[in-house]
Order: sequence, then C-alpha cells, then structure tokens
Amino acid sequence: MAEDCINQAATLAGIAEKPCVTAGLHIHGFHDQAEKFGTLAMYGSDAPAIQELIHTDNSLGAPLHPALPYCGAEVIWATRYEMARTLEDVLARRTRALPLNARAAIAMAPRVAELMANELGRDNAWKAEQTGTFMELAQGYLC
Amino acid sequence: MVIIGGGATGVGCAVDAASRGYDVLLLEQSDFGKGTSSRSTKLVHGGVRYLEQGNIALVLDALKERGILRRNAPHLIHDLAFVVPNYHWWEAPFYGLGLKVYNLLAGKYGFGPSEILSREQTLQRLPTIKTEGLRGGVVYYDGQFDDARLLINLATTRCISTALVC
Repeated sequence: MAEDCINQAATLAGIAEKPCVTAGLHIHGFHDQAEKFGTLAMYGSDAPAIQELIHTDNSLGAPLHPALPYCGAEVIWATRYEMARTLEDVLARRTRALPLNARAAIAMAPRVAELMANELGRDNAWKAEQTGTFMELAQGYLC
Repeated sequence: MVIIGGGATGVGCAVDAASRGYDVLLLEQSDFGKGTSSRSTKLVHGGVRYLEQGNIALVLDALKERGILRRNAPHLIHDLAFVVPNYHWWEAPFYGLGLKVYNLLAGKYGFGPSEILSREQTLQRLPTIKTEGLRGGVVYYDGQFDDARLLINLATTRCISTALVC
C-alpha cells in the first residue's frame, strides 16, 4: 500500500520516480534469534542496550508489576529513544500494559510517571497531571 | 514529501519514501498509532476469508506481504496456529482442501502446512470447545504481531533518521 501511495504521490507531484526498496529492508530491531532475550524479545537488536541499562542500575530490572513482564529500563528506553512523552504512550503502546491488564497498569502508573519525569526533567505537577489523565483513561478499560 | 499522521499508513509511507531517497517530513499530533493502528486484531494474515470469496489475487498479495514482513521483522512476527472445528461431514474436506490451497498460494512465504485433526486432537488443542457433534478440525497457520511495537520499530528504522519526525 505504501509503495502504491508513494508512486502515486511522485506521479501527481511530477517529481523524479525512484524505485521502492522496502521488500528487502530490515525493520529496526531485526534479529533472527530474539527469543533468547526473554521478556525483552520484542526489542530484537535493541535488547542488549536495554539489558545494559539494567546492568548500570539493577533497580531498573525489577518488574513494575508482578502480573506483567515489564521493567523500569523499558520506560527509560521508550522515553529516551522511542519518543514516548506521556504516561499513556508508555503504558498503552510502548508496552501493552493497559490493554493487557488495566488494573496492573493503574498500579504501575505512579512509578512509571516518576521514571519518565526524571528522564524528561519534569516536576511533581507534571507527574500528578499525567497520572490523573491516565487513571481517567484506564477507567474505560475496567469492567 | 509531507506525510500527515503517524499511524500504520503514515509511518509505512514515510519508511517507503525515505528509503527511496525522498526528503520526508512526518507530522503526528499526539503519538504513533494512538488511534486505529494500536487497536488492530494483531494478526498478519493472508486473508483466508477472501479465499472463500474467490479473490485469489488479493490472497496472493497478502500472503506475499505477510512473508516479507516476517522476513524483515522476525523479532516481531510469529506463527500462530488456528483450529477450525468441524461439526459436519463436509467440513473436513472443504476446509482441509481450502487451507491446503491457502498454504500452497503462499509458496516460499509459507508459514507451515495445514493438517486435518481427529476429534481427540481437536479437543486437545481446544479443550473448552463444544463437544456435541464435534467430528474433528483443521489446523492452519497465520502470523501474530504487536501492532504498536512494529509501528515504533518502523518509525525508528534507519532510513527514517534522515526524515524529520515531529
């Protein structure tokens, strides 16, 4: 679909046509044996860098909630390298805590806000605002 | 090229355009995949139901894209077994043959051969299924992935670093 779309855009704009090369393009994180990274498998080739974060600060390796496979290092990673800017970005999409287990996501929220605030240089008011907004959103996922 | 929206379509187009060598600006108002693109079925499928509708061209295309995606992002795309339970005599040959064709159409991009299951094998795989009248089943394979994670990995794919993401 992207190939057709970009072809069409180039034609309409009358700019030089260039061939699509994505059929052989490795997507970021490409790794043949990602399973060996355990709960960090989905990060593929980024997993060793996240393990390194844990290595420098062991507290980042502890699960943020016993019911979910996510740790603090992933919050740091998402904020530093994956453009996560809100609590929802980290809890709903960089990790899937919210759709998988909304109660656990709510319980994790204050700690995640703390980690993100440190990373982004935000104050207590930001943490409170983010946590409040997230709690409101999460209510819709509880039954 | 200016691309408005950082969902699956926008980010996919940005990767396509940037990797070709075009200058790209991607605009997103909140977060990648905040709407539909993080709420998909999490399936990378070849469109098995379109096969039943006879749309072979679409199925061929989707099966090929499914295979390319697994080849280019093996850390995110995994095989998932699906079982179609059979309650009528004609279902085993019908789905058995149909899903055999589905796998054949995938060619070198196949995810694994489909198989006809006995009643016992079906119950083993689906222990909570309705047993009354159950004759057996057919197992076939499609792909499963985390939609938001693939999107983030697309947005951080190397070629994109030359594109500007706001």
